[in-house]
Amino acid sequence: MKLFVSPQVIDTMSMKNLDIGFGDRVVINNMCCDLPTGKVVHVKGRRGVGKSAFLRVLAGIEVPTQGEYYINSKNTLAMSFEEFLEYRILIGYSFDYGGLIHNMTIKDNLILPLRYHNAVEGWLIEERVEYYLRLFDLWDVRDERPSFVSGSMRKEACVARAFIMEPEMVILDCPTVGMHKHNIQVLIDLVKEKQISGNLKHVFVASDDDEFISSFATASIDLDDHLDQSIVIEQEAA
Amino acid sequence: MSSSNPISTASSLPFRVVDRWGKKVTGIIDYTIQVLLMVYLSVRAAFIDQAQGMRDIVRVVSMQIYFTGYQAMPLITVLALATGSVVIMQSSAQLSFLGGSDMLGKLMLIIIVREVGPLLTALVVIARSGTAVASELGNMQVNKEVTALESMGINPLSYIVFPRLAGGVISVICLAFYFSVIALIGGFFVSRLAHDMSFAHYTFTLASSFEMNDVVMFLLKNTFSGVIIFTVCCYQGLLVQKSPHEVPQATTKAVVNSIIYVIGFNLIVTTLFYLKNLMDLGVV
Repeated sequence: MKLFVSPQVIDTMSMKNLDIGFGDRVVINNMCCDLPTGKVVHVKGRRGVGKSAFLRVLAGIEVPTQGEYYINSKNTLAMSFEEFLEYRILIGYSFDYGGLIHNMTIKDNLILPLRYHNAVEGWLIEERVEYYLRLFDLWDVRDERPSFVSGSMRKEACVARAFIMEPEMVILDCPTVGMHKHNIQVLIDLVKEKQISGNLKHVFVASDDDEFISSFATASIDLDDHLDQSIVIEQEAA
Repeated sequence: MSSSNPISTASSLPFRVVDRWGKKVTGIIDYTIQVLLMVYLSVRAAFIDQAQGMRDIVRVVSMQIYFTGYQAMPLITVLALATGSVVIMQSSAQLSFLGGSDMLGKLMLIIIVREVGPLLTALVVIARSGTAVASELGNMQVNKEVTALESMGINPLSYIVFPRLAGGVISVICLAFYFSVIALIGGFFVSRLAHDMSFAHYTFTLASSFEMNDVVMFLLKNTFSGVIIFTVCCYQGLLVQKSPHEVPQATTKAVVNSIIYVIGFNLIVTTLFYLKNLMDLGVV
């Protein structure tokens, strides 16, 4: 089995004159920066500053009002859906809320990207899905639809799905909100393990959970300063 | 000063009426272009996606055929029997007065196969499946499911829109065929008490009146009705942004627009078809 697309390696990411807004309201203004790579980056800022919108642009699922977003010096915003697929397949994304397909079981939600992209053999799909379901303690509810499980289980399933394709970059939007304490530690350990093994290179997390962030973040982006047309990037020692 | 201002003059009543109608017409043209563009993009995306996830697309197509086609059969049966029997009863009574009972087959084919069948089938499909598709897609938008598909590298146009479109068109054609058969044959037996025509004679008049034009018109109307219904409903569903209160509004708009477009299309096809017939006869 082989992926139908040829994934590229993400080396550099940068944004140029990026505006993100909803209607007339601009939340991120003229953002120019090189994004830290190979780190666990904490995307911080006060509520409503546009952390989720920023992460969605990063994942290529939201188009900014204007500006350019480069991966490996290529402007991704000029790419078609099919062209960006080479990068998208390397990105796992976990939503702040929602995001699970409601007419599928929890297990099928995890199977979907693997099967759709022909990522691994059939028996390996089962094996990998079982690993993540057991890891986040979701095995017992694998055949339930998202509406029939608790909010924390939905959140955990969404986070598990972000890792299912063994991505190079993971974007987590408020992953700990509603998540069981035990599974927060599981998530931290998973990220560390994947980083050590070399599979996971870039992690972007938006979260207000200081304990969670301090346990593994190695860099941060502060979106509060966007109105001054500058983004403070605090590179800390890895 | 304001009365001499050309801008003020332009805003007088006749211009405002023209403006309003102009906006409406351009709005309709714009909407039609958007809908047609979605048909093209979804078919294109499905063909590009051919290697990836074709099993998933086939699975969704079969589910759509099951929900739209198979599950609508009881309702279609009742409607077809009622329509067929009423048309046979009324037509046979009137035609026998005029001594033209041999024309019954021709009349039935024109009314059922060319006109009533496609229209009633389309209305049933809009009421059952069009609403379901629009509200399902609207809720998917609200729950970020469409964005989730995109984030997994799955094109919503090929995964959501195309299977519904393909399954919907197949279902509409099959349902209209089923409607026509039940109305023509079942209608005859239901109305048996009201006329004294033999079944053999009835089928003979049907068979001898059958033309290639019936097939062309049947396929043309039903194929495009299916395309119109499922594209308009998918389009309206996907227009929902973030709030659940938009879902019923989108569903209502999907139903209204589908009905208007389907009826408009059927009228245009019928008119053009009979204009062509008149031209062939040298009347026009």
